[in-house]
Order: sequence, then C-alpha cells, then structure tokens
Amino acid sequence: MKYLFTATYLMLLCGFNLSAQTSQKISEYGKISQWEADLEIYDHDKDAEAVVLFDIGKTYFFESEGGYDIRYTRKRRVKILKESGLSEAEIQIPYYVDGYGKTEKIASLRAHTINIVETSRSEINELQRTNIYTEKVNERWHVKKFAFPNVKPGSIIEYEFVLESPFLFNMPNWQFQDRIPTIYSEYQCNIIPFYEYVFYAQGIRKFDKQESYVATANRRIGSTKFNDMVYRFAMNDVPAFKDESYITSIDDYIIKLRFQLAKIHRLNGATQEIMTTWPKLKEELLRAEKFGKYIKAADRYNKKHLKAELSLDNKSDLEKVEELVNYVKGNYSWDGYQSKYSNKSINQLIKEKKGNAAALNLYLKSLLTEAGIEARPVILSTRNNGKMKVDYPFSSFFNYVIVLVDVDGKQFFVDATEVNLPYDRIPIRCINEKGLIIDELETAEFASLSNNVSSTTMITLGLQLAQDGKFDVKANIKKTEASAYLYRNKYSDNVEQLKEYYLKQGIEEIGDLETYNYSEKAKPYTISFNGSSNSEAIDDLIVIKPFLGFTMEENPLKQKTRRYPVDMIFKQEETISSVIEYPDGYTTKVLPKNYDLDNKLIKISTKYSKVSDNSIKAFCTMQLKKAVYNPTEYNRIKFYFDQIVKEFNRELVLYKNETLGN
Amino acid sequence: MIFLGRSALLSVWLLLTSSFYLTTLGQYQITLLNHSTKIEVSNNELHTLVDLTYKIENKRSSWIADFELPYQNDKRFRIISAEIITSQGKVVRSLKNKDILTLHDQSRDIFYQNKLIKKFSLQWHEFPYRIRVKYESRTRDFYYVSRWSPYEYSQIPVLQANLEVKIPFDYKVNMSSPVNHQYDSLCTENIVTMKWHFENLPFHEAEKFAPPVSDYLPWITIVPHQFRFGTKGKLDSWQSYGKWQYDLHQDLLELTTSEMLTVDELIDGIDQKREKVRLLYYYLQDNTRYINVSIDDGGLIPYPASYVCDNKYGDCKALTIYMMALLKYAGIESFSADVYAGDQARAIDRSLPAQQFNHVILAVPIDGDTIWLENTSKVLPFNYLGSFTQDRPALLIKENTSEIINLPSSSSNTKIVNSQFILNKDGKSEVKSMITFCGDASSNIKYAATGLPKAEQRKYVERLINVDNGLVTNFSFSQNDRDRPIMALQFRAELVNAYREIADRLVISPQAPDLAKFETPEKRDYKVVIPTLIERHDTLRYDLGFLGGQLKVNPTKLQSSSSFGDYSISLSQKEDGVILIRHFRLNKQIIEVEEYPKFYDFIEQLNEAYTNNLILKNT
Repeated sequence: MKYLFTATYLMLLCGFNLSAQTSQKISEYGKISQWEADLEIYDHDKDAEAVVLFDIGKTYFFESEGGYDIRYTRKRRVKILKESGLSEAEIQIPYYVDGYGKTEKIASLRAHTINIVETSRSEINELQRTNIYTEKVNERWHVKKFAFPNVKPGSIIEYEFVLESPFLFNMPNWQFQDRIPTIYSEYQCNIIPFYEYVFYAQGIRKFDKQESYVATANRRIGSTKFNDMVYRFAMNDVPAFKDESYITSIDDYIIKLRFQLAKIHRLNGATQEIMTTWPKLKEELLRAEKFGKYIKAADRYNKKHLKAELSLDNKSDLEKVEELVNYVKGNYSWDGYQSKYSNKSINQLIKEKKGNAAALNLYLKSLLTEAGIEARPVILSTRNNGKMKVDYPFSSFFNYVIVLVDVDGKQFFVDATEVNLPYDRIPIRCINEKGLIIDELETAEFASLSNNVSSTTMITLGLQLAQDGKFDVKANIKKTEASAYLYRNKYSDNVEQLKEYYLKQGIEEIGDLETYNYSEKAKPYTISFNGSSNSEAIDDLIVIKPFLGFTMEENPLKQKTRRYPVDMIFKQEETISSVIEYPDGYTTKVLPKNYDLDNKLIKISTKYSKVSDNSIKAFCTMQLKKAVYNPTEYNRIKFYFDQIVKEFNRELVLYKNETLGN
Repeated sequence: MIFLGRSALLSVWLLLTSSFYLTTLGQYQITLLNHSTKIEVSNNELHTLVDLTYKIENKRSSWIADFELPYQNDKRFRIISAEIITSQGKVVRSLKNKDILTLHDQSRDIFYQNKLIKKFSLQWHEFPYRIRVKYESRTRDFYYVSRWSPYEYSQIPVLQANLEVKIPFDYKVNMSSPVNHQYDSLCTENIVTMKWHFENLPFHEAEKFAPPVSDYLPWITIVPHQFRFGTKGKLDSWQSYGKWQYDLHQDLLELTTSEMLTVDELIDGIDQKREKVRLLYYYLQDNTRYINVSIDDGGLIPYPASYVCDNKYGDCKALTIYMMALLKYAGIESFSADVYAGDQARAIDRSLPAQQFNHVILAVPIDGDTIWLENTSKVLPFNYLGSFTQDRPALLIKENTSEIINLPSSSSNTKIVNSQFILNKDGKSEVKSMITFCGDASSNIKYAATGLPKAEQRKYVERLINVDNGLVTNFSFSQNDRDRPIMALQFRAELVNAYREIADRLVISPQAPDLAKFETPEKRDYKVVIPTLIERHDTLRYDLGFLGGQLKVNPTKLQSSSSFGDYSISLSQKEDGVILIRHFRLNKQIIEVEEYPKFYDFIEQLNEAYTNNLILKNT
C-alpha cells in the first residue's frame, strides 16, 4: 500500500469516530479502567504473557532555531499477565546523535507501575529519575533505559516520553505489532505544509480507523499562516508477531508504517524535491559526503597510488577484477558494520586498514574504475534489515552497498567484506531481492540480487565392512558456493574442529584428514579423511546406514501451517554416493527400494544396487529447485522433507551365510 | 549476579573465566610476546602501567587487535600508546586520541553499569605483525594491589611476562604467588620492589566437568592490609574484611513503612521462626526480580533495603540486604555470605583474606541449624542452594567473627522418566510421559514453567525430550510442594520413528543418557569434578498391541557397579508389550587424571548398555 501525505490537504479517507469501545481503551496517564484492572487473560491469545493495552504515538512539528524540529510523543500501557511477561518491564529508548552537533533528545520521560491492591484501589509506583540511565552504545546511538518498579503479574506498566529530533528525514516510523498482542495501537502525524512525506504500510490490508483533517489551531511562521494536516491511523486487536524459522527478517512481516521525507515547500513558494523518485535518491547519494564524495576522494587517491601498489599490466579485465577484490580483502578488514555510507574518510581507511562495508566496497569501486573496469555501486537492504520496496523510493530501506561490474558484457557483483567468498560472489546477507544501481543516469535500474547458482554438496563414501562388524570409512566431501563458504567460515580449515564435527556424525578414529582449496575460494572446498564406524548388530543381522550420519535426520520444518515464505536463501543440491563392500560370507537381506520424485519444487532420488557379490552401491540426491518457497507450497515442502528423512535414512541389512537357517 | 566490578587491570580475571572466550580461541594463531605490568602504591594511590605486545600470525587471528579496555568511570585511565609494528620492526601506525572511542560497557547480565570502555582497532594487512599497547590507571579506591596473571586469555600462549610491584616499606600487604617462577625483591629508600618473571607459558583449554581453567593459571595476588573503597577497611584477616562489610550493611537495613506493615501482616500469628523465614523468603521470591544496576566502583557497595522496597528489584547484594532487613524487622538475625558462584566451584585461597567472591547469599541460624537463602532466584525452594553455590567455601560476614565456612552440599540431579509408548502398525506412535526432575534440574524446569512464554516453553520441551521428528501435542508442568526441589513435566508426543522394522524383527532404539560426551583419555589434561550426584531412572513401557499377541521377548538383566557409579538395565515382557527399566548413578566425586581412563571406560560402557537395541521378534 502506498500513500502520500501532501500539504494540500487532499485526502479525507474515512471518518475516525472514536467508538465508545475505543474511547474506553485509552485513558489518562495513571487512570485505569475497570476492564484493565480486571483483565487476567487476553481472550484473543490466552497464552499471552503480557498485552499492550494501548500504544499511542504522535508526531508534531515545532518551531526551533531557524526552522522546525520533530516532537514525537509515545504513550504506552502494558498489562503483565504472567511471570514470563516481566521482561516487558525493562525499557530501552534509543536516540540518534550525528556526531556533528545535531542530536535527538529525550525531552521528557515518565513511567509508573500500577498494582491493584484491592478491588477498586490501586497503588502507583512512580519511576524515580535517578533510576533512568543513559548509555552510549556506539558512536551514533545512545539509549535511555529503565526498569519499572514493583512489577509482578497483574501489574499495569505505563510510560510516556517525548523525543525531539532535528532529523526531518527520519520521521518516526510506527509499529502496530509487537511480540505480545496489542489491543489498541494508534499513530497520529500532524504535518505542517512545508514538508511532505510518503509512507509505506506493511502488512496492513485495512486500518480499523483512518482519518485525515485540517487541524483547527492556527499556526504561523513569520507572516505566513498555516494549519497542520492531521493523519491518524489505528488498529485494534493486533495479534502477537510469532517468529517463524527460514524468514529473512521480522522487519519484513511485522505490521508497521514507514515514512520518508518527499518534498520541502519553501516559504518563497519553491519546492525542493527530496526523494520522491529513485533518480533523485541516486543523485542525493552521489552528492553525499560519505558516498559520492568518498568515491571521488578514493579516485584521487587511487590515481596516484594504484599503479605503485598493484601491477595490473597484462591482465585481462576479469583478472583485474579478481586481483582488485582480493587486494581489498587481503589488505583491509571489515569492522562488521553494515552501511551504505562509509564510516571513514579515504585517508582513514588507508591508514587504519579497517572500515564498514561501504568504506571497503566504495573504495573497491574506485579501484575498479581506475583500473578501467566499469563498476557501479548498488545499494541494497540486507536480509536482517528487511526487503526494499520498488514502489517506494525510501533511502532508509537501504543499509549496504556492493559493486556491480561489467566485464565484456558480463555483469556480476563484487564485495570486499568476506574473505571466504570468491571474488565474484556476494555475502549471504546481501541476497535479498533487488538492489538499486547508483549511477548518473536519469532512470532507475534495479539489479536482482537473487542467487540462481545452486550450492552443492557432493559426498563420496567408501565403506568396507570387517568381520568384527566395524567398517573402515573413506570419505570425500566436496562443497561449492554458499555451502563451501559456510564451511570455510565455520571451521576456518581447522583440522581438529572438522574432526570434532565428523565425530559427532558417528565416525570414529578419524585420521588423514586433509582439506583442499581453502584459499582457492572459487574452487570447491574439499575435505577427505579416513575413519571407522560401527555397523549395528541385530542378532545375526548387520544393519548399515549407507549414508552414515551425512543425511538430514530431522525435518527442519515443524509448524503445521505457514504464513510467511520459506526462505532457503539459495538453491541447494546434495548428493551422496556410497559403495559398501563386505567380506565373503555375507549376503544381502534387505536392499532398500529406490525412490524417485521430481517436480518443479524438488527432486529426490535414491538408488540402491548390488555391484558384485561383495559390494553394494547406494546413491541419494536432493535438489531444492527454489531458493524461496511460497507459504502455499509449505505443506508440500514439509512433506518432501519428511520423505527425505525417511528415504535417505533407510537401512541396508546383511546376514552371515552360515547362520542362515539356524 | 556478578558483583565484582572489573577494572581494566582486573579484566583478565573475567576474560579468563568467560566461557565464550574459552570455547572460541583455540583455533587462532596469536602469541602474547610480552606482558609487562608495573604497579606502584604511593601516597595511597595505586598506579598501574600495562604494556602488551601481541604477535598476530594471520587474518583469522586479528580479532585480538580490536581492543575494548574497560575501566570504572571515576578512575583515571589513559591509553599511553598503541601501535602496529611490522615483522621487520617498523612502526607503521600509532594510534591518536581521535581513533579511540569511549563507550559504555555493555555486559549481557548487567542492566546498567557505570563502567566505560576504550575501544580502538589495530588492524594491519601484512602478516605476521605485532601490536603494542600501553595504558595506565590511577585510583585511590582499591582492595587489590595486584590480581595479576601472566595470561590475558588462557588460550593464548605467553612468551614472556613480567610483573613489578613497588610499595612503601611500611605498607603492609598479604600476598600469594606461584612457587615455580623467577622472583626478585629489593628494598631501597623505603621502597620495596618485587619482580616476577615468566616465560614460555602454554595455552589452556577448558574441559568438560573440569575445574575452571583459571584454577590452573599462575596468579600473583597482593592485598593491602588497609584499604579504601568508599570507606576505609582492613584486609589483614577475614575477620577485619568481614567487619568492613558488616559495617557497610548496618545502615542499609531500614524498610519503608509500608513494607513493615506487609511484614507484620505476613507473620501475624506465626510463632515458629523457621516458618517466618519461609514466608518472608517466598514473599521476596514472589515480589522481586533480579536486575543488576552497578553504579559504584567495583560493585561492592550494596543498595539499601529501601531501594528494593521501592523498586522490587535489585542485584544479589541489594536483594540479600533486603531479605536481611525483612528478617531483622521480624526479629530474626541473619548473616550474608560471600561466595564465588558458578556450576563448577572455583578455588578460594583461604590463607589470603581478599575479595575473592562474585556473589552473596544469606545464612539464617535457627535452633543450631542454618537456613540458606539464595535471594536472586525466583525458582529455588526455601533453604536450598543449587549447583550455583553449593558445596564450596564462603565468607560468612559477622561483626567480629567473620570466617570462611563450607556451604552445605545439598543438591543432587535426579531425573525419573515414566513413559508409555503406544506403537502402531503404520509406524506412527504416541508417547505419554511423565518426567520428574529432582534437585538441580528442577530449577531449570521451574524457570521454563514460569519464566518462558508458551511458544518458548514448547521449544524448550522439544529440546529437552529430544524426540527426532516428533511433535509434542500437549505438555504441562507441575509442582506439588514449593519447599522441595521437585518439578514434573507431563507431555504427549506423536512419533514417526519409535521403532524400526528390520527383516522380520522389530527394533526399538532407546535414547542415550543425557550425559556430556567426555574427551578421550589422551585428550584429557584436567581432573573430573562431578559436583553433584547424578541419577536417572527410566521406566519405559512399549505397547505392541498391533502385533496381535505375536511377540516374543527374551527377558534380560544387566548391571554394573564401580566407585564411579552404577547402572542396571532390565527388559521384560508384559502382556502385549515390553517394559524396559534403566537406572544409572554417577557419584559426586573427583577423578584425578590418572584415574580418567577407567572413568572414561565406565562412561562408555554405560552409554553402550543404555543404548542397546531392543530386538523384538514377531513370532
């Protein structure tokens, strides 16, 4: 849903008559209604540990030195229903400090706990000012934190605060949903005619209440009179957000309103377009100190130093890209911060050898350009930051930048933050729908970030059964793409850690463990080792799992139903090929049946065949054909995973010939 | 529950005992080339100068170059220099003040603390390289002259380390230090200079059921006889240190008027002291919560009882003072006791009166007996010390007779499982189960039952019962008697793999015992400490009615006993099913490294016996 606030008071979408029921839900600070006092179980969610009775936000523009600042007021009341809801009584209110003298501030804050001590008598414990703490979390973010006093199940906790902000670009967003249910949530924005905002409503088909009207209070600036335009949105009985596995981010699904400044109308009649279009957003970035100007500074630096530091002569363009990406990865470190803006000047980066994703990748972009490679930054929203929306040119959606290179007509992305990725692959966190290419063209071009390359695991096993029921294991595990990257990252090529991992898969006495291509990131990462494993003796029978513990043993999808897509991030393919050799005197008692299933979503196959009198070949493969499955496909995928667990773990049974007939 | 504030110079203590570091550092290639510390006490000021040089071999190990040096807000702390040195010895970068961020220290278990960190990075791109950092602090409030180890992280080896301590000739201290080290002392012009030197110290890694790694490291501990920490105190004996704490507490024991009225109401008509204590303890449990706000330097000074009266929260000191105040108002004397809490007890140097603790509990003497109260837990029963504090030394705080005492060994860890598996022909089965947890395990269950939201409870139960591909259809927790550490979990689950059909046999594979996987003997360096008795009793009934009476089972019985513990397993047929009864007990004990191979064998045999398949023939 896309909405536009304008200063021209166009919209009066529907009435906002506060029903008797709604009025009943909101009461003055410190005054509680009987229904709030009586509430012990929330009918719509009987397991809820706490419930938001109301959550009301209001944004207002007030005059400050030379212009307007935002005053954001929030009033929130929560009833603690169970002991497990006590964590709701610890509050953190973050506020932003830009480091250049501008800062948000908490102008006022009050909070109290209300306990019903007898029928119709309540006891109020006010939060003492001395129990409010301020913490500097990092360079830009501070937080006010406090714990409500005297809280127990049955307590009502309530707080109000006013946050004043000079950052008109960041009008506070509003989240109607929480991890506990919300009975009433309302957001009101009083917009002055000089600013125009666009907002995006996520997960909202219809507000329970929505209205817009011209405020009656007259305001003026200089000789210009104006009235605020008021927008109010409300929702009743919003269910708790329930976390599900395999989702990108809670931010993608939680019900909320998100705002972006679109225009500034000057008193002289001029209008400044801020970010109503993608091209303008691009333009803004290219002018930004920590983006476009940073690239230019890097360009100046690289013009002087590139040739001295790197020899790119006689290299093809593709080789140059590889060399430069690996140069940045090898010589600079990522500090773990994601941003589309560099947190360092180019001189700082060169000196300190460490920076955020933008510092490294915009520097890389400059190096590539200097080397004659067509390279453009691409801004994106990482998976934990939620999805960007193509219909909404919101700068705030984006929190990362990578580089798109064009070599001989072939386009691909590069990123310098992850040393364990090949030069032409981007981190998993970046695989999140689309990114916006930043160039000087007057059109907006998006690049798909989805990863169509399957990540594969190929395992070859040689199992040789001895008379004592043990068998020798020879294993070779080859991983490509994301799967290889995850392994390289997790085990860092540490032989002991890898051994420990495989010991947990049921393989003992692991020896001769070798790895291949740890440093050759573009090549499959391969691990081979010898070991032993035990077969299972069932009376006179020998039971063998042909694929040992390398298969999926438990269905990762547990829920009965699914509301959100199942996001596997990348396509996956896994194949295990096993040859089981056994000594003379054994005969196959049970050879599992083959299984085949192949459709648009998945491929599953197992094959078992007797190769000779003393050996059996077993093979299984599964291929997830999509990186993301729709909720409508959930039941099928869950069923297929059940089949994988069942079919890939079937057992092979041998018996000793001499015992036959006993 | 940590009340030990950490100065930058004591940071090593916590780093060494932090499980995070212990489990993640082994794979790195870092050497602490030089760790030099100079400490001087002069005019009652403690000046500490630290000089560290690390060698970093590869990029994977360069996390060590990201510094976060913690210090107390009111302490004078300064980074003197920080530089990067290439393998050729060239200084390629010297840190400037603007490169250093000052932020609040955010520890996971502390809601707020008045401690800051200096954050900076010394990353370089050519390996190997060295980093050298020098910093100093000055303070007049201190209770250690030195609490120093040559290690910064137990898993990083140390090439060379030096400690130099200068104190006035007449400045009295107690001290302890390892015996096998190089030591010199010199006395000149009323200054005593002591020097310790260490070389080539290997790294240490944590092991399962082992004493904390910090117990195996060399420590040089120097404690002043007299100290100032907010107020003046003495550390020349446990009695004097206890007296300092006792005096601190005396002004803090006033309740608010409304709280006095509440106490009056609670104990009205109750004659027995013990019952009064019990009622007041449960009042504390039901009405307060643990929140650690650490404002004072070192976190030693408790909040007054009125703070908890008003807020109904506090850290271990505040809640203990509050409980003391409740008891005092009720006319019952109680004493706080300092202890080093943790699942594995840490060694306390009894010969060295010092602040060697991180937690406080309460002792209430009644009729020749002592009731012990853990005031931070909302789930422990009255007069019950869990594995967190049981069976270890503690400093009992009294006015003039403080002493190191041994806390009772009151806990055990027993799990009794009664399960009925109803197996069906289609392979799908149902299990109805009741698990009773006694002793330490019960507090975790109670926490899950009361402290977790329903969805988290379900996940907890699924992890706990560890049923592959099973679906828990319903579950409930119960507790019959709040005074006893016993909790029950009842659940039903649908299973898809309760049995396997192999050839003409039906095979049931019972779950393994929930014991940690021990290191093989060749990888074990430290003794094993089993801090509490561990017991399991399983009665598992498998209904096999779907076989139509065509069941044949050979009854079997197996048992074994040793000094480590014992186990027994029996299988019998009953009507259309089989009953498997399993039991094992692991004694509370210490197993020295020499005995470890035998212990390991015992555990292996136990595991094998426990997981033996039930092979049922369908006749």
